[in-house]
Amino acid sequence: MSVLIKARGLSKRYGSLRALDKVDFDIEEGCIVGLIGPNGAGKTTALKAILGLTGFDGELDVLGHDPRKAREQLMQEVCFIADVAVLPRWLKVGNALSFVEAVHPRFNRERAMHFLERTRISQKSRVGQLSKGMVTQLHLALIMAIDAKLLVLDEPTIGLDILYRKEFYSNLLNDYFDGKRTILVTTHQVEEIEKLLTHLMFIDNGRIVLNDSMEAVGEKYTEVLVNPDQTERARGLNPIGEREIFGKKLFLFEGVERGKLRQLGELHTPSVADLFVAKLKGAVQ
Amino acid sequence: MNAMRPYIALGKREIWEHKSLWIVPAVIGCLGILFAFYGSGALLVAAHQGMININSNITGVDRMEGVRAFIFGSAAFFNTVMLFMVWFYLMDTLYADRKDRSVLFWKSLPLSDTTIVLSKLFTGMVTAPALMLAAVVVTEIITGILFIIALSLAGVNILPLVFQPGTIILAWITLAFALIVQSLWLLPFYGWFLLCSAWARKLVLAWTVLIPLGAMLAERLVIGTHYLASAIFGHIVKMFMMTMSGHYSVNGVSVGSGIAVGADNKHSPFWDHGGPMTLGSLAHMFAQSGMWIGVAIGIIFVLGAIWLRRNHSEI
Repeated sequence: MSVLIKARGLSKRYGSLRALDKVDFDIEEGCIVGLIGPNGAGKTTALKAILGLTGFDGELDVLGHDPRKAREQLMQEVCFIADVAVLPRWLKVGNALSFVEAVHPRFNRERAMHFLERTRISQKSRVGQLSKGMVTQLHLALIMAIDAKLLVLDEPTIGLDILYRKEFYSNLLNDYFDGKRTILVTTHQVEEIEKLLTHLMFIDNGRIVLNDSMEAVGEKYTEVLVNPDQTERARGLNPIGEREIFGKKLFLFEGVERGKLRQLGELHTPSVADLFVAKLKGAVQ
Repeated sequence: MNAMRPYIALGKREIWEHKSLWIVPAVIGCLGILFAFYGSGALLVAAHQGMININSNITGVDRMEGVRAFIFGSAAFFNTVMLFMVWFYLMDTLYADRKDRSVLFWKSLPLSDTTIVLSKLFTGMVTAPALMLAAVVVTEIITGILFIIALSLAGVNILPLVFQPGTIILAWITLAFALIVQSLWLLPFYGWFLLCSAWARKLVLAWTVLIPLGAMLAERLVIGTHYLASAIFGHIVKMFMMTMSGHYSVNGVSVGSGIAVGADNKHSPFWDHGGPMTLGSLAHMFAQSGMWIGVAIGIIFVLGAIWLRRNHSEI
């Protein structure tokens, strides 16, 4: 698989604040990468750098382009939804289709219409008349009708109710993702996307603290519901996380052999959210 | 044609968002036609009372002057309103995208910031005047016909006097050329409005006015001169002399359209010959150093607006 995004020593400073601190990563074609981090960790800065929306130091190659220099060429093959509801209120749905069709060589109007038919959005409506959920449906219909190589989503479902959020990701997975396209997504609602991710990237304080495929994550990290008599032994194996659930201790281990852990108690694959908390606590210490 | 498609879409997009670009000229046109109805009614009343007496000895030159006075005079009013409209449009256009964050949507499409900013400048310099000119032509045709009908009902046939297709069409072409010259002449102002629109976090109108005023005041207080003020106001005054000065004579009655500059246009330094606006007098504007200095300053402001749109588009 070829590398779509390659970052080497990617840095960005806002005054004395280091939003990105010499970050290296590769993103390969055909992946769905979740970029997870607390507020102000540098997620949005990283996405903005990739999209050519901000300047940066270091090296960044996106589809063979330097995003600072060739943003308009890049946007032929890269789509993004920066946030919900950034479509202007005055825009009519029909006009939005005509506009994108005229300016985007890879836009397929029939495809967009096909997606819109499943919704209650009328072509005559103005964006201002639609609910927030419907605006997101419209934006997604526009974006999914573009034959792009990379789709970047920055908190695409924030503020939407659960029905729209579920529908958003199921549309994305069933109608858009074909195994060749690449999706890079950031969100606070990790639980909703963890099943669709192929790769996971944690970012904190401008640094990458985890960058692995979901398979590797499943192999490397193990959660053990430890029997009470084994607690001290478990602590001896240097867990990266420890918490209590129903009076039992739950430990999270990184890179410890499963055979060893099996003696301690019941094994689980950790959820992304738990892994995130453990990794970031470790980073703080 | 296919290569033009994105640019046509960008042009349409501006009119979708800023409906005033066509509504304002249409409304003024309708008002003009309404006044013409009222005027022709009044004319009929006056004719019945024997108060109208058309001199049949009008010379050819006077007839042409009269037709031109009608065409340029009504256009002057449209133009004044349009200039304010373009000011408000350019001031709002980049700011509105930033304020509702839709700039992130426009930036997700394969359009460069340069293309987008230039599409907005084009709308102010070409689309708005073109829509205005269309409204002027339609309004003048309708009001002209109304007056001809009213006068003929009053027993006076002025059709042979005023129906001079050559003069009328030349006047409209002159008007179109004047609008192009005016847009170029005002480029430093248009560029400034775009720059403020790309830069201000709020209160764009205040910034467009207060920064130049502040700079003028500072120059006055610190250095004691007023070069900036004379440059800015001088530029505007020259423009009005060009587009609106005119001194027409209809059957011995002087009809001034717009601002009269002095009693005699022949003494105005901006005409190489006396008389009203012609293609030649407009072409002469290109020989003014003020034109090119203004265009250069305008380009710098537009480049600044493009840079801001690319690098600092968030509020």
